[in-house]
Amino acid sequence: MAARAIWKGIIELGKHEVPVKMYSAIEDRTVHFHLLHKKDHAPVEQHIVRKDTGKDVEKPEMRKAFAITKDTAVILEPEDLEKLVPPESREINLCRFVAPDVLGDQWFERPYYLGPDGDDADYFALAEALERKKVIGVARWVMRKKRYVGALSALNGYLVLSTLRRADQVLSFSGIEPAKTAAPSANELKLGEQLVASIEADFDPELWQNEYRKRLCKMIEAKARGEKLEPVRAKKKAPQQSLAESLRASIAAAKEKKVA
Amino acid sequence: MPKAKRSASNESAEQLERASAPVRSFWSGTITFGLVSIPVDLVSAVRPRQTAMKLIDKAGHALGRQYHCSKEGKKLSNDELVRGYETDDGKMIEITDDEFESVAPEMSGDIELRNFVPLEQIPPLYFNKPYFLAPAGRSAKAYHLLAATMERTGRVGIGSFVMRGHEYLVAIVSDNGVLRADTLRYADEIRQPDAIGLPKKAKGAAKKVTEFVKEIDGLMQDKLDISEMRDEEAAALQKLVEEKQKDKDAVIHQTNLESEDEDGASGGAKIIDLMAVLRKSLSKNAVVTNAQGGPPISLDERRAQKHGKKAATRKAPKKKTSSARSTSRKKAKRA
Amino acid sequence: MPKARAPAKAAATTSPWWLGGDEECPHCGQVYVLEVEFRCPDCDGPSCPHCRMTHAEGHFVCPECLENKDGG
Repeated sequence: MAARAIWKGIIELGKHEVPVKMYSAIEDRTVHFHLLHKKDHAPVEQHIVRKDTGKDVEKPEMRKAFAITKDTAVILEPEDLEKLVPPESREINLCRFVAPDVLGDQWFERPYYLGPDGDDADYFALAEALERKKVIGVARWVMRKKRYVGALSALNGYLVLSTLRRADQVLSFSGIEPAKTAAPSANELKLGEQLVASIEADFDPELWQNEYRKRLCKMIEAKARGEKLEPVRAKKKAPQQSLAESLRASIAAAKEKKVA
Repeated sequence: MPKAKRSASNESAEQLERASAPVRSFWSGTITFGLVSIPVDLVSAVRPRQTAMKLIDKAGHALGRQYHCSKEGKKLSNDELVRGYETDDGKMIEITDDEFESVAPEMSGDIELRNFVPLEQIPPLYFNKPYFLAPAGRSAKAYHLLAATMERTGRVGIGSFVMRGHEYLVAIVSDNGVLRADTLRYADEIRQPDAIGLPKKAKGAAKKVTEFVKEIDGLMQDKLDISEMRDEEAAALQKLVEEKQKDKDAVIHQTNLESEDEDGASGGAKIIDLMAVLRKSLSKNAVVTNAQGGPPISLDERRAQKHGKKAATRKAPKKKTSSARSTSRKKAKRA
Repeated sequence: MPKARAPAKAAATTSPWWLGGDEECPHCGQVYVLEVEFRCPDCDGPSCPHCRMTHAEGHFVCPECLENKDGG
């Protein structure tokens, strides 16, 4: 079943234009719950009310206020908020290209696939160029009255555009050094690397399944049939050893597993 | 990690301020690999984009939410609410908090790192939300060991845990010495191009590819430009709010507009001051700079600033060792 | 260094985590937790579960997309 395009844009690169359609790259698999009234399991609705009187307030009466201090806020009328809306545009502007390791993973927010909108040839040529150069493009565009910044990349021959978080949202540290008492010794560091080496592997997303979701669904279905499921037992915590001892024992255990 | 130049040093102080603002930790547990266990507290690594919006009516009265029963039409208190799930044949089944707990109790306390994978092998579209991990044990040695090992090997730990009724797959990475858990999407949560209806792959015309490569070369840069990553929406909103302040009719005064947790919705979560917790295990000579490489800020001075006392004699900044430098990732092909 | 606990509330019952939140709904301004977020299939915009509307065609959409039939 083909997905509905969220938006249509035009990638601008130099004098080139590549028209594209944007699709969400995410399939929602969450098991969503409903809010129910405990007594009769009737669905629960949200009403917006005045906090002091508890009386319902209709949508035309509502306004947005933004706090300046703990006790003061400024009301913004709909006309004011209109002023914030950027001019409409279909352009996806590419500001620069950088190596992939320049953008840490904490910047990536929401991924979208881009598909060609009319011209397949140019679309695939751009994807090929990006894959060949192994770079990420920093893109800016306006969509549904909001400004976006994103990263354009190629994945298996297709274009992916991920929205990025803003500079003010992302925190990073540098120069963090442990105190003498908390610093691992050279020997501990060596053992640590050995342990990591014993459980290293290539990234294979298929290896990881959402186990909790499966069990939750089973429990819901079982409860619907009137059955009771056996609760799973929590693991007993292993007694604490020194760091070096734990490392050595872990490496030994990992080696045994490999041989078996 | 962005290697961009920041303009004023005011921004670095602001960043640190935000980093040191206490945040709620809504999960505590242990990271385990092999038999090593590291107690940690989880806090969000993302700050909100702008000042919170408060909903009011035209006259300035604060508005809030109230739950009503759709059948009886009357107001409900929070303890009259339960969670329900719809089965395939439309039945509504209530699941209690205890029943939720019983689904997978063995998965809620630990993040067991079962693999260490090269970071560059994880395509960006798997990344969801980042969380900082604050060391919570008596000794932070194992914490620093994991961070240092991952930086040296360029590998990240993959594991999963259950929090808030959901299972999260995470990549534990070292963010220059601080452990960060980046939640990942599961394979079945990522759509495939053919499922979306994208056309079958075609080979681009060689001439066009060359032209595009030329354009890309022309725009190549070493670093990001932080001004391109700025939040213009938040800035425009802030400016508008400041201007509107001059209009007396637009300003409302009310005690505790910023009231949080009116329903005690934090559920007793711990408040964590991440910087304070890190300092506990940092040497007195440690220097904390912001991500953009602004001027080093001595922790002593920072503490003094906060308490309004005179700073102690400034200690010389410690030389960065290889473990503190960001890992240079191999520019391998992303899977 | 102590990790301060949130000041004890004299008020009634503490609410469960699924009624609180750190995210702000752009439509109603109320808070919600990420785990209950609704994403509009038409615009991929976030909203709290209460603001989710039912489109004439039967699927769920956000209040904005319900108004703008012609899309972005």
